[in-house]
Amino acid sequence: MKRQQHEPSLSMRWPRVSLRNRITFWVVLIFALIQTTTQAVFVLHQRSTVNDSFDRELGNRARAVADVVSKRVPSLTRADIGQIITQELRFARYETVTLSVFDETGRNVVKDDADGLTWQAVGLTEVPAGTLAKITRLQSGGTHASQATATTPRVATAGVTGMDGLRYAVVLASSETFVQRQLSLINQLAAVSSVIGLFAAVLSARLIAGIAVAPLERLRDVAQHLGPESIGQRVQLASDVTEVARLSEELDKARIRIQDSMLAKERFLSNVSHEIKTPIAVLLLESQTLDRSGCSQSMLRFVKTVEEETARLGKLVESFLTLTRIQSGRGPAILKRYCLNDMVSDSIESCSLMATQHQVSLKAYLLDRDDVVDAAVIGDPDLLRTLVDNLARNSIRFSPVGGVVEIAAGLDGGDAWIRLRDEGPGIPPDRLDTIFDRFAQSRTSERQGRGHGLGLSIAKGIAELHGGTIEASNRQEGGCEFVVRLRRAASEILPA
Amino acid sequence: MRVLIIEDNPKMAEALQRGLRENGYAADMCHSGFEGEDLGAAEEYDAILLDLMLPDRDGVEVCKNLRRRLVATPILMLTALSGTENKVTGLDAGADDYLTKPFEFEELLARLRALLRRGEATEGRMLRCDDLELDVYTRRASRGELNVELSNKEFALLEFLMRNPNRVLSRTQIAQKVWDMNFDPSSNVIDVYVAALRKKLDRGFPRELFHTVKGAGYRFGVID
Repeated sequence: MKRQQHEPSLSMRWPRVSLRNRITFWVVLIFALIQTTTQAVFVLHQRSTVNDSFDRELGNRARAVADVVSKRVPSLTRADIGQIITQELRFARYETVTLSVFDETGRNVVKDDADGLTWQAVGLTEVPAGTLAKITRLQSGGTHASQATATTPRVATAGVTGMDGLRYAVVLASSETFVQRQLSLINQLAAVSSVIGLFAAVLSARLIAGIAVAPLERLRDVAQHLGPESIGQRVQLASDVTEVARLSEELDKARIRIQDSMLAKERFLSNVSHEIKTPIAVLLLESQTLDRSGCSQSMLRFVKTVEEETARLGKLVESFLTLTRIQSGRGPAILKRYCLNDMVSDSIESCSLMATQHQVSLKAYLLDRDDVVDAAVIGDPDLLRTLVDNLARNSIRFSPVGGVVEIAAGLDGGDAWIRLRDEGPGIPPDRLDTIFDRFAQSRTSERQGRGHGLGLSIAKGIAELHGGTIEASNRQEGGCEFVVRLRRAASEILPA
Repeated sequence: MRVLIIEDNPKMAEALQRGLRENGYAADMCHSGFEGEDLGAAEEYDAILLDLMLPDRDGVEVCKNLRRRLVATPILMLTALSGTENKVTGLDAGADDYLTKPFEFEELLARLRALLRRGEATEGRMLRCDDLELDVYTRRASRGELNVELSNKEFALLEFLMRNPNRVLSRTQIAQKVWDMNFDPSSNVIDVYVAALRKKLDRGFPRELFHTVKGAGYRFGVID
């Protein structure tokens, strides 16, 4: 009980998610974490590498340009600058490059380059002596500068000694288009690889989940088929996975424990049935074979009551036992071919005495077409006969003296049917629905003493146990009709 | 008519004995399987009532032993156990009929009458007619090379026909003797079973054994 109370709250806290999805979720999450970290490191490293190599290259160029410039200073014109750029700075094709030369006072020494960069604009305070300085800040001023600042500029400087012996500063400023393009390429690559990686992660997660779940699914199949009807069959799940193999063994042990308890219950029932039925049989036999000559009127009545009630008790016990058998949840314990004709004929025979006592005649229509005489159903013959027998007894019980009970067998596609008709009072319309309920009969006084009220419910139980149906209806001509439908067995050549 | 009652419950046995005596049978009783086997083999009985659960041995065992000792007396098994399996083992062991306790005494008398009628006919395990043979113990029929399995009713009908060869048997007679009852005349039960036997045993053989006599019934046997 306690556990039952716990379970709902547990399931409320943890919504049911399939193991497959749960595994997928965690695998993808872990993968995404790892991938994000790796990629962040990768991207940062690439960025700094690209930056560094660009700066190095720019420095190298600045030094190369400085050599050329040193031979021309102080007489430098815009044209010279243009020439130097074309000759020395091939990458200027991709980048906007500005070359400026300043003297120690910070004056731009290039003639006709009034628009060029100014000393202040590049933020130089002194001409570096031989070393390269990187200037990251470029102030506004001049067309070249504005071109260069269109993107974040990069600047390399070199100090040179001119032909006049003075010190000059060569400033090479470059736009960053190339670097930016490289960096965005790296970003794109990272993004694409993220997507691919995620995709791969989901795929592999599904694969892993599939591998993990597959034995569970097979176990589920096994568990699904584990019912009272298959309790005798070993649970076998061939698996090279240790956990699954162990689980399958445990499942089989559980099955054996259940089977043992079921067998114990059956043994008990069988013993009880024997112990109860024997004294009833003795009592019934004693009362029926009693010498009644010389019995007083009241004595005779007493004996008659004892006889009738004992007979009823006997039938009731038998019915209870049948009910237990059909309610065990298992399919029929015995599966045998039972010819439809035999089924009708056998039950007619078993209730013939009752028919004679009630002065009711039985009319039987068996299957007579040559190709269907052998039509059979599969099930427990004893129960199937009880089924027809109960219906027939019911019909006889409610038939008027001299009435006819008709029992017919027939086929309808894959179904076999048995139909019983009587000439009794019929079933009150309001009781048609409850006629198969247990003890439905004893609720009405008119039927008191006629039966024990289990026959029809047993008949229904047996029909359903065999996968069939049973229906009751009133006939227009009077009386009622019961139709049992059962699945017809595949025809079989009888063994020669 | 002498009947042997093998039943361990003394009250049951006594009531049976009393009831049978009142109905004109001579009835002996014994309370163990061992005793029952000896009595059944030594004395001539017309029928044996055999309880399935005996203190010293199983009723099925007793039944097998009696048959092994070539006792052909019809055996009616009585048991408080129900269920097809018990029934089948009982019949396989050589019992002729089976009745579940508690039963109506009338029912017992009816079954007994049916058994005795069969016993009246000449005894013998094998019934023969032309090339058709019926083994009364195994309930198997064979004709020429053909071996045929029969249902209970088919067997009972064939046995009745074979024990009454060359006689016109009316449907009423057949119904009374084989089914122990009267069918409503429009029933087709007997015709269907005769047809089933024909299908199994007569078809394809040069000589017909099952004959319909128009307006009268059936006749079994070789007609020259």
